[in-house]
Parts: sequence; C-alpha cells; structure tokens
Amino acid sequence: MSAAHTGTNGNVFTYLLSKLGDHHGFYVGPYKVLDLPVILWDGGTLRAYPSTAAMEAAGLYRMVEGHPVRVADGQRPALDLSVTNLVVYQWIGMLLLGVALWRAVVRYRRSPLRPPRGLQNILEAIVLFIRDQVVRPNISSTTLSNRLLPYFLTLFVFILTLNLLGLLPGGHTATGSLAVTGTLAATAFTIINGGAIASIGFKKWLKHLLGGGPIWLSPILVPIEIIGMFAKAFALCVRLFANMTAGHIALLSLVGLIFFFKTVLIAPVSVAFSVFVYFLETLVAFLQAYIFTILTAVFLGLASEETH
Amino acid sequence: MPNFLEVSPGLMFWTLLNFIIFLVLLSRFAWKPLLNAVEQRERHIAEALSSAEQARQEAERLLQEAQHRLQQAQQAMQHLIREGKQQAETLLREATERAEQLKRQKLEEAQNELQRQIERAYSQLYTEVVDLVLEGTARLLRQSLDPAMHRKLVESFLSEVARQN
Repeated sequence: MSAAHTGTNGNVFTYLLSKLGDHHGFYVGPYKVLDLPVILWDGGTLRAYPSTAAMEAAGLYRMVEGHPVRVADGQRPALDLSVTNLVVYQWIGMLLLGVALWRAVVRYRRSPLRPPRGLQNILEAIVLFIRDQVVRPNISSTTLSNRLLPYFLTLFVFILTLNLLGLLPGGHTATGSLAVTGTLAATAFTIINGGAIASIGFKKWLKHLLGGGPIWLSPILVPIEIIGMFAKAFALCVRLFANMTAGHIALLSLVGLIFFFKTVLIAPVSVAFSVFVYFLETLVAFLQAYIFTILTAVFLGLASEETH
Repeated sequence: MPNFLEVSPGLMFWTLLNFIIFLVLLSRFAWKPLLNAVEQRERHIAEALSSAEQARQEAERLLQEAQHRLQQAQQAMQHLIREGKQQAETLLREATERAEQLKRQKLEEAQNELQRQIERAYSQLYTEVVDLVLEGTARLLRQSLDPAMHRKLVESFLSEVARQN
C-alpha cells in the first residue's frame, strides 16, 4: 500500500518467502521481538555471544543474508549452533505441552477414576487414539508397541503442537523447516530399524533386506531395500515439510496478489481464499502429525514382522 | 537457494536435543502416569460393567424366583379355597342329612310314643268304661239282672262300639 511496497512489487514474493525460514532472533510475524544467543563452533573453538549485535561488535563475525560469516574471509563458520527462532518455537511448544500434560497428570493423580474434563479430555483422546488406532493395530508385538508407545505419543504431540503454533497469528512453523522434519525422520529411521532389530533380532532384520526374494537376486534386491529404508525416512521428512510450507506459501501468494495487482479490489478474494486455506491448514496440521506417526508405526510394523 | 529450503545443522542439533529431552521427560512424567491412569480406569470400568451385569442377572433370577413363588402361593391358595369350599359343602350336606335323619327318627319315636299312649289310653279307657258301665249298671239294675247275664250284655255292646270305632 505504501510507496515502498508498490515500488518493490516484483520482489514481494521473494521478500515474504524469506520470512518463512529460520532466523537469528525470536520473531513474531515479521517482527524481531528478542535477541537470541549466537553460538559458533569454528576452528576448534566454541564462541558464544548474547546476540547478533554483540557478535558483530566483537569483530570476528558479521551477519550476511541472515547468516554469520567470518569477517576475515567471508566464509561461514564450521558449525552454527545458535539458538534460532525455530528452536525457541520448539521450546514454546514443549512448554505449553508440558504444562498441559502436567495439569492432566496432576488431575489423574488426584482422582484417577473420575471421567476426564477439558484439556485432560483432549489429551486422553489423543493418547487413546495413538495407542488404539495407530500403534497397536500396526505393531503386532505387544512388548514392542508398549515400549515404543511413549515415542509415538511424543512424536505426535510434538509435531501437532509445532504445526498448530505455526497457525497462530505471528507464529512460525518449526515443522516447516527441513532441518526439523529431517531430524524427526531420522529418529523415526532409528526407531524403525532399532525396534525391528530389538524385536526380531539382527539376522532376521538382515533377511528383510532380501525383500523375500531368492538369494541370487540379492545383488539387486539388497540395494533396493536399503534405498527403500532411506527413502521412507526421506519421504517422511519431505512430506511434513512440504505440507506445512505449502499452506504458508499459498497464504502468502494470496496476500501477495493484492500488491501484485496494485488494487484493493482483489482484497476480498484474497481474504476469502486465505480463510479457506487457513482452515485447510488447520486440517493439514492434524493430518500430517497423524500421517507422520502412523507411517512410522506402519514401517516399524512391517520391519518387525516375523515372516515376510 | 531460498532461505526456507536451507538445512541448518545447528537447527538439527537443537531439534534432536529438544526432542530427546522432551521424549525422556514426557515418558517418565507424563505418558507413564497417564497411561497407567487410563488403564486403571479401563479396568475399573470393565469391572464395574461386569459386576453390573452380574447384579442384573442376579436380580433377574430373584425376580423369576419371586414370580414363581407367587404363582405357587396363588395355586396353593386356590387349592385351599377349593378344598375349604368342598369341605364346607360336605359338612353342610352331612349336617343336613343328619338333621333330617334325626328329625325323622324323633318324629317316628314321637309317633310310636303317641301310638303307645293312645293304645294305653284306649285300654285304660276300655277297662274304665267297662268298670264304670258295670258299676253304673250294677247300681241301676242291682237287683234286676244276675251278674253273668249282665256282663255278657255289656261286652257285646262294647265290642259293637269298638267295631264302630
């Protein structure tokens, strides 16, 4: 609407997209609310600064395109372990969930036989859903499903909370980052194969790599199965990331239309579609948390089957 | 590459750390008590349901028993009433018969007695009449008739009277 925006209408989209990723500093919407510590592992030394400003003032590094680089040669440090925006959003999600769960647990302690109320009821519905619809039907071994139930519960509520936090006005979606979904997929990969090995033993797990084919087909089948193992985890990672990002991009595009066409007349269309996409995203937030969890359970169930 | 497609190792490290801490904390302090409580309540509800079912069956059994007993009692009562009626009827009949019999007997006795009395009265009357007539006649005809003649006359007269009666 202002001259500054209409002057850069070609770059509106790229500008908005740049808001989607991770940032140094705690952001609500496009606004930086809080400085976060910068931690850099470079050349065998660990350097920590209370904020990016303090880092630049120290003189060794400066910020270029949102990343710290060495002043000396313009290269990025070996490892940037800074507490970033999405880390803080994870903490917020964990805190909210922790408080909710703590209250539920306290109420259970006080009166375990009373029917659940309010938040406790939602949490119990989620717990029972994951237990009875996701984990138990897919993992035939009872000991394995009971031992891994906490992992699946944590996975589901973690993803769901981060998805929903990103839908709050100004919230950033931690699950809209490949690093986050990749890490979660890596834990799923570990659980799938570790659980299978713990359940049926290493030998039978190796036999699964044959894919049930005869031994002379192993040169073809073993690489395929190994690729499949990683492909499953990779698909988990990309599916969640893409679903969470796609809705945001759709929203940004719809809002961007107003600036692109330079007319306020398009605004009702943008708003109407934005509301629609927002509802869709709410659905997707639940759906993707569910899909990630149930696919992990299904893959684990397949990998830990006694016979192929 | 756009900012949002970057894969930052630092974010991966933090995510892994967060997730593992979260997993450990929730497993110990949230999921375990929560699942335990849920299972406890499920058991409790299952027990309550089965005990309710048992109580229902017991109640049904008791009700059937009570109905059965009521029926038995009703039957016994009707039986008693019928028996009582019959007894009363027999008693009444017997009493009536006895009364009738008694009445007839008494009547008979009375008739017999009456008959005897009458006969006795007749015979007394007879002798007395004979005597009176004899005496009267004797007084009247003390001299005119000899007793043997006299007697013969009176007796023939009397037998005539008896025949007429």
